[in-house]
Amino acid sequence: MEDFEKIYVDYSSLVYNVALNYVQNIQDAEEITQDVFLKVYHKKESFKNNSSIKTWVYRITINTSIDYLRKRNRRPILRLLINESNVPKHKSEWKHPGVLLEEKEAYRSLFSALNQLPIAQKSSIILLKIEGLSQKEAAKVLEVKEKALESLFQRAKKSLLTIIKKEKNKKNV
Amino acid sequence: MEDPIELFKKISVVQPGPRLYESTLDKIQAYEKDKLSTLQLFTIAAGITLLIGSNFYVSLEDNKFVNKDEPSQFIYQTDLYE
Repeated sequence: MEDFEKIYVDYSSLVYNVALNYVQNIQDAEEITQDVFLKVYHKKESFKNNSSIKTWVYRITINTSIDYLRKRNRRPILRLLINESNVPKHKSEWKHPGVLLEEKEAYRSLFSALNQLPIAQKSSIILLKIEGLSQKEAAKVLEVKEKALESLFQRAKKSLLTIIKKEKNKKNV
Repeated sequence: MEDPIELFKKISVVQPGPRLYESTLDKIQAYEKDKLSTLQLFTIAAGITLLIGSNFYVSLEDNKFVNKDEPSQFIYQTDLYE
């Protein structure tokens, strides 16, 4: 348990912030953080020192966030099958505490574009630009070669700018 | 105009709430409890399987003592209706 507490102290901020950048919602980010540490607690014995603990925690966080988003996106069907009013609605709850209030709208549209990217491209932007990891570190986390990550990031950047442009044109029309 | 990608760099790091650790521990404990009940369920299932298995084995063993070449006594009883 002491080991676990140390891991929590060292990495809870990292986990929470990565989760926030994936879901842009405090409640969901907290839920993801809990799930990540639940996995860390159960898998810490089987952790092999092939990678650093930071890389390992990053991987668990990214996978948990992606799983969470998939489950969340499945909910609309669930809403139709069960009772619409019983299932919490998520789409409108954009709340990123790392963003200044006066810049909220700019970031909301930026994240809206980010959310439209394929998940691997989204991950490359989160790790390289928001988390500020080096290309080498990010490649290790995503288990791809550095060159592959570079081209993934370039594609992500291009797609993101295209989406932003389209959104702007829509607004201007 | 600023490169939108560069805007991502300006996002501040946020500290998780102090109660998050407690709720994480609660979740771990709840999971452990659930795991225990799964273990109990597994034990019960194993017990039932063992019971059925042993009954089957006993019935197989019983069959070994029946000599199938020997006709039953019933066939030799010709005086049933006399």
